[in-house]
Amino acid sequence: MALAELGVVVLDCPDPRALAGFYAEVLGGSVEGDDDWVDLRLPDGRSLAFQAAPGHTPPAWPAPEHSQQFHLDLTVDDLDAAERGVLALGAKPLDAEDRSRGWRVYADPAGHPFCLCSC
Amino acid sequence: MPPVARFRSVVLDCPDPRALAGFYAAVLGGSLDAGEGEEGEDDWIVLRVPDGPRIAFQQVAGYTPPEWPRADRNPQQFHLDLDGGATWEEMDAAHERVLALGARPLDLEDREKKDFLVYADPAGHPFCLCRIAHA
Repeated sequence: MALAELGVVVLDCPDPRALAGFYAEVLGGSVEGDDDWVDLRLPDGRSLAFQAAPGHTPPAWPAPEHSQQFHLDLTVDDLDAAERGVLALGAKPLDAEDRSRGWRVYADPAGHPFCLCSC
Repeated sequence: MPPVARFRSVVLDCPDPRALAGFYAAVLGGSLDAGEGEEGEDDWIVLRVPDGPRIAFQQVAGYTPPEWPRADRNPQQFHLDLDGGATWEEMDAAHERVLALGARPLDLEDREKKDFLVYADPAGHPFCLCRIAHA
């Protein structure tokens, strides 16, 4: 028997409203909350949350001594179209040059790595 | 305009994916899949949580756990909020069980005021047990 239910994944960042806005553009959904904590309610009923972390230091990737700690995998139908979308929203490519793979790696505007996956 | 992408997985870095996936499977339930399409691989394990998202565990050589609470060096970056029950009796039971599974308390103070307790999982990632009033 499980002892808890998974509620929400919470991302540290310097500006919760700004980072929630980025993911709302990428994934859809609605944003609610104040300046310290913002919830993004996704179209499928799941949620992501964004928490203000003063002095936030973004992950260094790839660097095992300061690892990314986590990343989000996001599913897309068309990698090229999705890449244009996330770059226009302020994402930066981290490992996106190999076009033979079914996934590419980017940093969100606060520096958290995420992958676009067509798998 | 439709969204760019659909949310698929949260992926946690750790030194031993099978061990950390086992911890979260014991906490949340669900089933473990070894590296998709790669028989016997232990460097990527997926936990499929009932009615929840996929949580994947990725092996990182020389992994350094987050330090908490601190924002200036190797910060937590993220945490998982887990619904530990509607009452403090349920929360206390969940508390005992996560400790027995290898979690370490990080912040158990002011619980009546905050309605959540903070722990580190066996790889050092912070997570919270939250008291959630059920409808």
